[in-house]
Amino acid sequence: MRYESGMNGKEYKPQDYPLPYVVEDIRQWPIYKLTENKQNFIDEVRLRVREKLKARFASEKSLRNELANVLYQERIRLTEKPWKADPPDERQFWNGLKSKLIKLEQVEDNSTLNEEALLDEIINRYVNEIVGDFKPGAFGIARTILPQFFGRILSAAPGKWFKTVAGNMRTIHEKIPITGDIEKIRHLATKGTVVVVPTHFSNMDSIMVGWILNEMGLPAFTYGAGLNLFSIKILSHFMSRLGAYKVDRRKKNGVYLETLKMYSTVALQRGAHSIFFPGGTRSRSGQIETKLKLGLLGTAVEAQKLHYMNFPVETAPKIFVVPCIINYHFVLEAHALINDYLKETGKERFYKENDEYSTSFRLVRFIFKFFSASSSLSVSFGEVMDVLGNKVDDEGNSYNHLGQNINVKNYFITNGELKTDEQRDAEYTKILGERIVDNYHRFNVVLTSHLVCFTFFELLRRKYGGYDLFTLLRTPSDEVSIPYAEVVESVGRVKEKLKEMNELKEVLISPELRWNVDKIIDHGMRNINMYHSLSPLTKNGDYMGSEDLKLLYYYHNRLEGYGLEKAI
Amino acid sequence: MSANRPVGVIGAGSFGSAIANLLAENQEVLLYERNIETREQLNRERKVKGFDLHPNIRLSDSLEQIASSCYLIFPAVPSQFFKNMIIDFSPYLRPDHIMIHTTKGLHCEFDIDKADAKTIRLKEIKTMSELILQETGIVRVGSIAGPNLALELMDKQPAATVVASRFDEVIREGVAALKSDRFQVYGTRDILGIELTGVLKNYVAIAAGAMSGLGFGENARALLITRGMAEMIYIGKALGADKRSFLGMAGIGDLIATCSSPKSRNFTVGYRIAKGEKLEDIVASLGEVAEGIRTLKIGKLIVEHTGVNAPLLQTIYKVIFEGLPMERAVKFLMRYPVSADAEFLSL
Repeated sequence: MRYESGMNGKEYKPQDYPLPYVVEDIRQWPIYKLTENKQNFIDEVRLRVREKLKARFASEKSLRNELANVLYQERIRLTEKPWKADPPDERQFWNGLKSKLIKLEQVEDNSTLNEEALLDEIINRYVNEIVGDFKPGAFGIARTILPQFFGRILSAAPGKWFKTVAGNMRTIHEKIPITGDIEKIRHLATKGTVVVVPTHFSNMDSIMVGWILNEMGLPAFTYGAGLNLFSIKILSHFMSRLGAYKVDRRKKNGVYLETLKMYSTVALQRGAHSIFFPGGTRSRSGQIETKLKLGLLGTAVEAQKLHYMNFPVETAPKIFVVPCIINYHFVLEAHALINDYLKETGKERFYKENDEYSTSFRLVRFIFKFFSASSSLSVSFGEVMDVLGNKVDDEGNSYNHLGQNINVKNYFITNGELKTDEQRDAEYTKILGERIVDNYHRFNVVLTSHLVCFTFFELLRRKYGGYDLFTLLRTPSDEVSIPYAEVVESVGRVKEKLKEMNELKEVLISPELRWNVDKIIDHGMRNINMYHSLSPLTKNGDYMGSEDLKLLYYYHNRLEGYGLEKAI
Repeated sequence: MSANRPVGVIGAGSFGSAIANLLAENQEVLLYERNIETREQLNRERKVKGFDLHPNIRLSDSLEQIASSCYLIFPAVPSQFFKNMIIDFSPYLRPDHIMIHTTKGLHCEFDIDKADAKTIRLKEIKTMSELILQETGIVRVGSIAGPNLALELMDKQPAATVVASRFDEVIREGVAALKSDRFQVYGTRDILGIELTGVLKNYVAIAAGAMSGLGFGENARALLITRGMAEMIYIGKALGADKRSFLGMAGIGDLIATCSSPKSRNFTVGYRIAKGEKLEDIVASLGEVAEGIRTLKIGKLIVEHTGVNAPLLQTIYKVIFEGLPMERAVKFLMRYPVSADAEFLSL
């Protein structure tokens, strides 16, 4: 299945996947080399964080204050948010640090004990906690298991009992169309370091992206996974061997954040292809990310600058940023996410209803339905860019928005000299972020369910114009309805608008959007209702309604920001 | 600061020459002038409006030469010519150039004489820094604005300005290149605020000239400046700017200078209108461009598009373009209902 993307390059068909690895020998993969020299890597991260923080907290006193600050925050975390994934000696370590810090304030002679040593201890602990691993053995197992796992699910779906595993893989790729300039991404992965920046809607995302990149024949990527996921044994076993490093979102102290950023910077400098979720956490509203977290993204800019400092411009390795948009007809956690969002925006105006269900049962049901749905999702890659968001050609040369050939090194030059300037680079990261968000919108693939949910909710909004959002969402679902004929007309108009925007390369549309409106509505309804127990979209005779307005709103939000409401 | 390389200035008008003279105290300056006659005359006489051109200034006829010789460039070109200049310049510019413009005007992607306020899009109205970003590969862009009447700068009188950029680096470079014993340079990251306040003060200056032309004194001028600034803040807010910069050197500072000085072109336009001259004649005899005329036209489109309440702008527009007698304009404004004092501070 192919979407009109307007991009050049070789197009792969579903049966072509998995593509051959661009680098055949796993031992030549950057991530393999990185873990082969793991101790050396850890030492470099440690040393460089220490130098950076020493420069920032130049006096003994300011460093001591920072240490006390870290200790204070860590002790709060220990009592308020303890996790199963925390190491058993956590409390002991911080208590020990506390006594040392107290001693430091009392003792005059600091020959054996000093602030720097304590800083070192903390950094050391953090790096060793964060660091990931890559084991070809585990990678091989995962590679064999995953297709079988997906295959099993598929063969369990009605009518697919006798398919072979290979046949099933083909079905998967028919169901998960991948669009974008795949060949270019493959080629550039051999010329430089690739940073994939996906949208984030579901916990499925990291597995999905990792798997897709593997199917594309790219060397394994490293990525930050939430520390909480590591408390699930089997997940932890594989993730920690497949290049995932641990990110603890509870730790917000400066030493931890610097260590994490340095980890990513050094990994990039050593050529490790990386996945960042620049939205930070999953989108709560269901809307495409418009504001990005710039911390990890900034390490791409930093690593590129350091390449120019360490290598002559002709041989300096280049870092390529590739936006990736994952679109699901339905999202596993939709219910919880939209409730979070409404709680956040509505504050006390919104009464949260309880929705308790067995998570594991839901998960199994989700995975089952996910792969048996006629077309569950799409994965779309945007333009390959440099760290300033300029487009690059097939060979990785940068071109600005005017098509002028650009030497990226020049962005880091002031008065003829390569200079370090954190504020400047932070602004560059913002510019990169803007380009990524722009790509998210332009390479977003509109699915039938999004179109129908968007249009239907906007019609409700119009009909109940006097209500504010929260009142509308609280309206009993049996009271809201729109004549089906009216929905058909509006969906038709929005569809036409989307097709126009597609021509102008402002958005991508799934092939089903070329069908007639009745079929589109039917397809959208079937797909979105497949998973949720209360249907966001219902049809009773000549009327359309909804059993769950919050979910309807969540899926509607996916097309927010395109100005489509004017087309209705 | 650029120790080895000269700093570039684009445009040898009175402000371009004044800024070149300031820069020349700290380093070599390459001054680009497109017009052959002006350039040759300057080369020959080395004088602008009776003031000497600094010996550190060399004239240039080539944008390519400016781009290859300078890292830091100050365009000083009226807004109506800015786009053509920057398009010509663009092929030679690189991301290691830093550009700090000095133009207090706006660019419109549409014809301002034919546009309909209802159908324009605010995105099509651009500040000069936005135009530079759009038309070149430069990213490090800044703007300067402040009470900087060209002739007083040429006369080496004390003054101050503000350099604005989202990049601290650009502010640092700008300050280092411009600062001297007679020129203080402030910095801010609020470039949109600085650009808009510099532009919007133009029409208030026309009004000030008109008041002066009617023979009104200081009370009337103070009233005009204070409420003019409030109105500028409201319009700026509608365009996404914060009020802060309007209360600083480039806002109230510039407003006081231009509204008090017959040396300002905008002021002169208002003054002569009040004396009964025709706009065409004034424009013809001024020789140079009064940005205020364009600001009025664009400003009217903006306030009508956004619905901002701007009685002063609307009234002065009618006086300049629709022949509303000054006396009636003043009467209208004086009868205009007023609210609490300094209410804009809570915006």
